[in-house]
Amino acid sequence: MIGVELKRQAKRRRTLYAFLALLAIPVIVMTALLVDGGPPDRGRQPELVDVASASGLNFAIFLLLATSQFLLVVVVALFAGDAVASEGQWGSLRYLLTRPIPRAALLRTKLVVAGLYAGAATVFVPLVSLVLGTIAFGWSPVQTPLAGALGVNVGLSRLALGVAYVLACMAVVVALAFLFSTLTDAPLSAVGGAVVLVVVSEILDQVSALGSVRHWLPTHYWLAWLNLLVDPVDATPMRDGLLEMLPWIVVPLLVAFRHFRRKDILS
Amino acid sequence: MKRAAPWLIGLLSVAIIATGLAEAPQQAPAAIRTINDAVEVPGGPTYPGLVRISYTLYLPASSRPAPAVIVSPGFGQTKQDVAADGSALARRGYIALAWTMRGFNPLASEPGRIALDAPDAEVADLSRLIDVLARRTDVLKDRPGDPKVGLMGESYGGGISLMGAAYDHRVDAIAPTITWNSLESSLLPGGVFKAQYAAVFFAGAAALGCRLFAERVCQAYERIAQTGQATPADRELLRHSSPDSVLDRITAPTLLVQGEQDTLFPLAESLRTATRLQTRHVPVHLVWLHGGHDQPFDSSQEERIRGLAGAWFDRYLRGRGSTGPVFQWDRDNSRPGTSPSLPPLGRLVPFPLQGTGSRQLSNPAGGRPASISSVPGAGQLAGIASGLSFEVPGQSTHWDSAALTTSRELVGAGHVDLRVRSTTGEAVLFVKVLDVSPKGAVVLPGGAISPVRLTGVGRTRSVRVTLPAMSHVFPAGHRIRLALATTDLGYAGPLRPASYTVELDPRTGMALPLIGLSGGKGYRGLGLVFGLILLALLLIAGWVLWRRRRRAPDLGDDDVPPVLIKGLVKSYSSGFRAVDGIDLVVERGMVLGLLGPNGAGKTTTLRMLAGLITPTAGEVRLFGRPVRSGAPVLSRVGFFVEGPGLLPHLTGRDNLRLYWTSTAPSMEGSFVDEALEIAGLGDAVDRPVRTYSHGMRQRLAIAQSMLGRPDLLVLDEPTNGLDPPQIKEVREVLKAVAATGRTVLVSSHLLSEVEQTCSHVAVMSRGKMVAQGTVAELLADDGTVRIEVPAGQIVRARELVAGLPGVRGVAVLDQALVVELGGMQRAAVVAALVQADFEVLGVASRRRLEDVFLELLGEPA
Repeated sequence: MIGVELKRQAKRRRTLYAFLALLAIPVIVMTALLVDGGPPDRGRQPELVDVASASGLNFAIFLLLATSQFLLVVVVALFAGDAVASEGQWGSLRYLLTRPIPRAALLRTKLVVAGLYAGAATVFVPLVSLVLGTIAFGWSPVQTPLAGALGVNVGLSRLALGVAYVLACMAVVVALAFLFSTLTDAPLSAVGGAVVLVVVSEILDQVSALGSVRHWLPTHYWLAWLNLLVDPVDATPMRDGLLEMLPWIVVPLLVAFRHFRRKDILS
Repeated sequence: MKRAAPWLIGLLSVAIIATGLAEAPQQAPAAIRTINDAVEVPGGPTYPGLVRISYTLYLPASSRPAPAVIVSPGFGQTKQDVAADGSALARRGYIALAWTMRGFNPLASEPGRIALDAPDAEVADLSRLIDVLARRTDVLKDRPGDPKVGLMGESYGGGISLMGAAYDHRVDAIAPTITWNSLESSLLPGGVFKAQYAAVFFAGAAALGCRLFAERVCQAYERIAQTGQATPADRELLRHSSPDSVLDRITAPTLLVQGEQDTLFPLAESLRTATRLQTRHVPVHLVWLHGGHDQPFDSSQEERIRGLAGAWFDRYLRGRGSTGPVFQWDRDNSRPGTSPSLPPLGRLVPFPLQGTGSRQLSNPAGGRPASISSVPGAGQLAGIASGLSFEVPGQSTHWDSAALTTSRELVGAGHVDLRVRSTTGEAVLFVKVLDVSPKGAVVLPGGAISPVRLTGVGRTRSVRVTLPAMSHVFPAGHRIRLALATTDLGYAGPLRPASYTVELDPRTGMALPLIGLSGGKGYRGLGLVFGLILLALLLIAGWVLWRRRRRAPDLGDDDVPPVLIKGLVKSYSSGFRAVDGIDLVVERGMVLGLLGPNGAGKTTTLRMLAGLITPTAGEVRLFGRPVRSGAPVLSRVGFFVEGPGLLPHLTGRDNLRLYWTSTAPSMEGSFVDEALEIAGLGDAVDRPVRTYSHGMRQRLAIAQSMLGRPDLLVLDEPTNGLDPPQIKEVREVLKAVAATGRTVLVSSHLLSEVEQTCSHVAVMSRGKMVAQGTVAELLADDGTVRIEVPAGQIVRARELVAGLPGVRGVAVLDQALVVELGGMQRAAVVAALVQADFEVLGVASRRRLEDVFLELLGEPA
């Protein structure tokens, strides 16, 4: 069933375009860095971009950071928000539900496939960047703006942990978009809803007047994986982040399943 | 002091000669003009009479008013030595003033004497130069008498820049390079005299009998050099010449550049200045570069410093552009690092060293032979690299860390807690942090060393020693070594022989602000959480892959009606009852038409039949089994509900295949070719559905409902939205299905279709079932008559007929009365109308299904 669902989604143009967009970004950034790998601009905090061309690993880490803030969120929201709502829009949902499989099973298949595509997109960016970056900038230790160099093995494992953490962040997007997807028959609303929620969360996170309330925003700890680039690794923010994101993943999914099992299909 | 190499005497003489020739017009790039001039200033307490200060102005090409920068040369240098800085500033659009500080132009008539950047000498001279700038019309002013002015300079010239900013409030920005925070901590670090460098510094004093120096400076030097220690008065003198004592007066934004190979003014000097200024919210940036007094900057580094200072002045003298990171530093064999905060980078964490217990060390009589940590200007000597370290056996000891697992960087200063005892009650120790390669090569990063003089250590005493500030990357595999020595060639240690007992404080030991240190405890917490997530993922995977134990799916019975609906109600929260208690039985082999106008509740009923909508009350059974979402019995039913629902990006064939396999393990039993034949799409089956016409989609969707040859086919409005030829096609399909003897439930408001294809009819209206039976039965029920009367009379005619006894109901349809007869004869009704003077235009006796249908609906809206 999951295989069939993967196939049903694979042939969609939006899948192709989403991955093309994710491929285009590393290519563009790489080209830009090759054309102008000059010293960092003055007047800016030192950032990963300043060392993005130091090595393939650096490039991959930078692109993971650059895309996980918005582009990846949109793509992941697309895969998850589209999952059920698009079937509603096409009218095919009612046909799937007249098949002798329980709704929860169908939704589970949809969730797993959306999750697989979202995960693939999240892994795709650093993987492609690592390959492109290694070709363009070589295979050498990770330069970080603060911590000096991390050896290639350490750097690779840190990148893997970083990807794992970003996967957890994207799981929040999947959960939110998936919930919206079961609530509406308009895929755009579901995708847009999740993206807007993320953006609103990021904006609220800037409002210092909110104090510690911000710690419960779904995106508050999204950059915690950057701690992996500093030694000694202070894993506390990441741990807090994972624990804080857990309800943002579990609760929307529970609501989605509960709602969908009882929902009257009117599409 | 920067170029003040060991051969300072030589340098001084060169400087003297150069100064003598200095007044000759200088070759400058075409766009820049230079003016040589001099100003006479009071000699102050250090020199009788006037002092003549000569300077060169570098003017930019544009004559528009510009900010000014005063460039001060290093120790032993004249204004000629900073000509490159002056020209560069002028090219950047500044009016640069390069001057020769007092004492360094001995051939001049009134040279003055070197007072070490003292407030009452050089600092006062600087203020006079600012006065000169204030009088110039081409210099921008903050207010009259207050020019917009920045100060820069290396070493001795950096010191005067800091001092000038402290004493003259007109200074707007400064960029001092490789200079001191405190002369005391530079020349007497930890209370130990830096004899060798000081000798270089004051070499002129010995050679020229103090002629170039102010007398008080000379005397202090001689006292310190003889005893290796400073009297309170000497300390006071050094303090007068130290920015450290006046930092609280500096408000000008400060860019500090320090050298990483500098044992005269080590990195810690710049760090103290920067930290103090930052706590007072003075804008301060810090740069640590390769080079320094031990290894002069090469021309590219000089260029970098000019660029940094230029950007700094652009920002704070012209309000243009922006500055870089708060802190940046050079690394060996790697790109420079940048940081938004000042060192130390990273928290100070205890760093474990191997080896415990106390060690014995001896201080030889006369302090010789001595360990060698650095030689002033060693970088200039071929073959002796800066960072060389030589230890004398018995006079040193060390503790090593384990080999590093990852590369780690130390930027800033750590500290170490020692327990020390000395046979003389006094001890001098030289503390170093070394990099030991796996092959045993030892490097002292930057030559940095922390001397400490301890008194009152006749009995064991604990002492915390601040380790040298440094910027160094310890590669993976290397060890970090803490070394203690009793002697150092560069310093004046105690001459009395002594024996020391030292040990690392077992509780605290050494702490370093290392970045690049892994294996901290924080990782464990993260591992736990990642482990939990992994566990959760495994659970999810199990949940996804887990299948119910295979049991025969309950496909219902064959000896019961395929469809049984009893008391079915669907009401919405608004109170609207879409289906209001209907009963319906469809027997095997029936082709039942469900008739009703839009909104009668047909679709809602069929959706409940498919399990898409949950009934509010009542019961729906398919083949004797209650319907719920996912019931196995649904596999015997093919549905077409309210239009096609196809995936536009897939071909017609793929749509059917993936629809079937989305629940079935294989295509087996799908009869997909048979279904495609019914759809009759020809070659179009292999085109994406988005290219299909509405009719083609409709046919494909109907074909989809027939996949797997279902025993019951439920078709909702299969001809909705189609044009007549397409309706005909669909009708052909329905006929073909009916011919196979399967049970069909088709809803429609197209009566002709039902009439032609259905064996049975059920009629719904406003959520209620109003009639049910065979088509023949409904047609045979001869209970109604259609009577046409003129339009103007129809309302009254209806009132009349409704009032007749024996008439069950009457409705108006298409300009005619439809009368339901309850035993009354048709003729009697007509007669009654005629009697009442109504004009009867026609009486229809033949019944059509449409009439029946409309009759059953009651009064149409």
